Amino acid sequence: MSQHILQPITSAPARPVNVADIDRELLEMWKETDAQPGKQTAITRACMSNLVVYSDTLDEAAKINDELAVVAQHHPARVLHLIGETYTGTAKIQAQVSAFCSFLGSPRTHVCSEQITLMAAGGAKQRLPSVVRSLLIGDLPTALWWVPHDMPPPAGGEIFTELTAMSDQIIYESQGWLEPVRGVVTMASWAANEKPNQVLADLEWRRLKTWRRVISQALDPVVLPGALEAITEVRLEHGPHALAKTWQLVGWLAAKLGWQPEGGKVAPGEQITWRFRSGTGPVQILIRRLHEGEPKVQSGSITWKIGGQSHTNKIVRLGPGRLGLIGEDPNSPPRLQVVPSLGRPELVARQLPDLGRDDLFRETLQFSRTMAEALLH
Amino acid sequence: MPTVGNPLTPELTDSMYPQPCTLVIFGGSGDLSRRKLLPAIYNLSLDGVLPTNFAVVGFAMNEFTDESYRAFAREGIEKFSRRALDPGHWADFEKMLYYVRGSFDDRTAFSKLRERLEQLEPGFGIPGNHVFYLAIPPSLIDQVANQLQAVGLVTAAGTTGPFTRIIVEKPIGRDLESAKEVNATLAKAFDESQIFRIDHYLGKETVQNIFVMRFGNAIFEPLWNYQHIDHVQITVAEEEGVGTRAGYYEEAGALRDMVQNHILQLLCITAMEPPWSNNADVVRDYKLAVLKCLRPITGKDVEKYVVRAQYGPGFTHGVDVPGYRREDRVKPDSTTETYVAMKLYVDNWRWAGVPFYIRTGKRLPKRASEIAIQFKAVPTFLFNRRADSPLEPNVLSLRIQPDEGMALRISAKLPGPKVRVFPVKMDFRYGTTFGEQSPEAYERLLLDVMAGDATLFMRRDAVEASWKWVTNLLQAWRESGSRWLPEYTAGTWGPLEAEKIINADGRSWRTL
Repeated sequence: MSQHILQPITSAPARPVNVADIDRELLEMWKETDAQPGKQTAITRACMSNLVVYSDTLDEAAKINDELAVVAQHHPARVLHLIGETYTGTAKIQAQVSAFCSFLGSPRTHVCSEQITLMAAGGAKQRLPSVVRSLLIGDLPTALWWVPHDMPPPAGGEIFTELTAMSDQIIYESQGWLEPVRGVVTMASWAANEKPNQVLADLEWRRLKTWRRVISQALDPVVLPGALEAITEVRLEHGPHALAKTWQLVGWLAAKLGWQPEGGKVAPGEQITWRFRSGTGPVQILIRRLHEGEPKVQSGSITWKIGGQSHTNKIVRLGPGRLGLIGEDPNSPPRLQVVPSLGRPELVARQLPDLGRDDLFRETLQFSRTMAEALLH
Repeated sequence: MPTVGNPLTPELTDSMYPQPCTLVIFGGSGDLSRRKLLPAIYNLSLDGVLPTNFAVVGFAMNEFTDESYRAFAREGIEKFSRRALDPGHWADFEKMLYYVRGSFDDRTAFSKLRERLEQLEPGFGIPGNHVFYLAIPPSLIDQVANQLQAVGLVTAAGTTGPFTRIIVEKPIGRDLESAKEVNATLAKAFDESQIFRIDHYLGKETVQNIFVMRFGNAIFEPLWNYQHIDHVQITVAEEEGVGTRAGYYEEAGALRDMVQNHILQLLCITAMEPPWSNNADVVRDYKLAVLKCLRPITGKDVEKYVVRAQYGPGFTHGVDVPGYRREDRVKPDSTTETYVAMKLYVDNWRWAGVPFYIRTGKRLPKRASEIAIQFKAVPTFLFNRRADSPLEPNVLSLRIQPDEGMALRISAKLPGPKVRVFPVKMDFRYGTTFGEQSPEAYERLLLDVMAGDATLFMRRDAVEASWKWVTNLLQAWRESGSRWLPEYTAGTWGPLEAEKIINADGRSWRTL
């Protein structure tokens, strides 16, 4: 059967260019590609978006660079990769242009995207937005992928503010925040004041999709009538660097079920407990950090009480890409749910076309702040 | 409906929320299951979009056990899935596949099916929701519907309890009367809201995009009427002959096989008024309105406006191919049409006087389906003054397959000191723009059924309205008596008679 599969085949080598000549150099690059002697391939320059990617350091940029080819493969874009600090010395910006090409089914049909890399040296970081402004392709959506991961994006200061002002969408990742609780508060406060139509996307929230799906379906009133209203306890275990994500999962559940936080306790690096009040009584939440493992929500259990009797459903990882829902019947095998194994670049590529505001995420973020405040006070 | 009482899923009301259910495939060991349905379910599973509480039960007469049915499914998936089989994932996936052997006329077999469902479903957390897929010949629909009802596998519609949905494949009948019979049979056991009449064409990405393109952009809709559109051409061309479907095709022919369903549905989406909501019944009301506005072609007009023909021997890609009447399982004196072309009108304000030319056939030069909207010419001033070399009119072509996308032909100035106008194409291709593999139509449609969204399925009144219109043609053909049909050479674009229909209006078929 006909296959329509994108596979990376080539990246044109990056060539250094003057910042003022970038557009001209890009044109030259495409002309050369088209004019290769003996060429029998059709090359299409494809571009769905402007993707502005910000890395703080060269190390971070090197890691992300390979991922950009994958992003462009799924979501052809003009990629503007900004590197905030390269080396000290004279304040200047260096630029280079390159291309990614993939083939579509036939090796004779190439789809190509272009990348412009801008490296700021000697404190020239603040000049980067001015270059970006001149290089954005009009009439296309602009997304900012904020790569630094130890602090929430607003901690990036002025450059973050300037880049977000020209972006329709801001993509970041809360995994690895050094202070997740403060990070949640910072991000929620910032989100509350940003442009109303701007799309805000935390890749960690996207990764929670399967968990949310499994919980929703496990306790669906059609499957287990009355269980959602009668939840008394939720326990979640997560690997290192996944606190913010687990927090969001609790925030989502509590916000949707109308629970109100009444207090909580943090055992740093170990576990967090909250006391919530639901419409039917108290709810105890416990999230516990495992000392090793992947930065994921690893397992969970939800307990509810109907007619004085407690019931528990468990959700566990059954291996890579598989979540299992274990009910109360010991003879029933776990119900399986595939967790699509998407790497970070694939997640970014999937996020880019989502141009509608994710109100559920915003609601969860704001509720997560309320939960943080319950702990901080 | 998608989110009955679940506070955790309100955000999913506008998207697909497939609900927990068992999918029972009648004819589960047949070709449709092997080539399309099981691969589609497998791909949905790979994407992680199936309900957590989900199982599949195949029902047919073949001697399968659960294990051998899984092997059958695996073989089909390995051969026909758009993505390769992943052995790791397969180990999980196969655990949700089961098989019940039985004959469609055997009540005991249906009781056995019910027992099997009752035994399996608690373990999967499935609350008695059933989707029944009838991948069986139309003659068996009656039996299966009755048996399901008799053994209590049909729940009432509109209650908060478990749901029952039934998917019915085309053809729904072979003329208006028989379509009414099939619908009446279904209606005895099922409420209309439980019936999903599938037309896989409507699940295609580009067909859905016509809707978005028309009503999601401000620039097309103001031009989408008789004032600006000269005519519309709809082509569904097949490169293959009848192949293994000769038995069915001999009874059906191109008019029943393609025009009554796929092409009239494409026409509806092209010609419909903007619906006031995305709600399934609203959209279907507006499509039905188009069918009601189709000008009937009756009596002698049929010969004037409709051409039917059969392919004769010829070449496909340089290889000899036999004529239709020489194909296996085709009668040597068959008068079944393998090609239909016609001119028709949608009699309403928007389309007053705008002809729709449609054509479909087998053994045409290539597989290509498109809808082409040809706009009226600009006034004869400036660049359009020479009558012998008029400007090419603007054409918006919506390609459905292959190479899905759309193109707009516009006039541009050739570089140089003189003003020379040249037609150029602005081309949008799904593949190169989005770079993603589109899901198969069956994937989308199966998910829609699990979610209870009937927008892309045919409603009873629409099926009957389209048969009513088509039956006029069938009747005229029948009255004209059996005779040899015009022939076209295999590998060409159809008979001369089809050219005449459009050339008589000073227009011509598009080269695809």
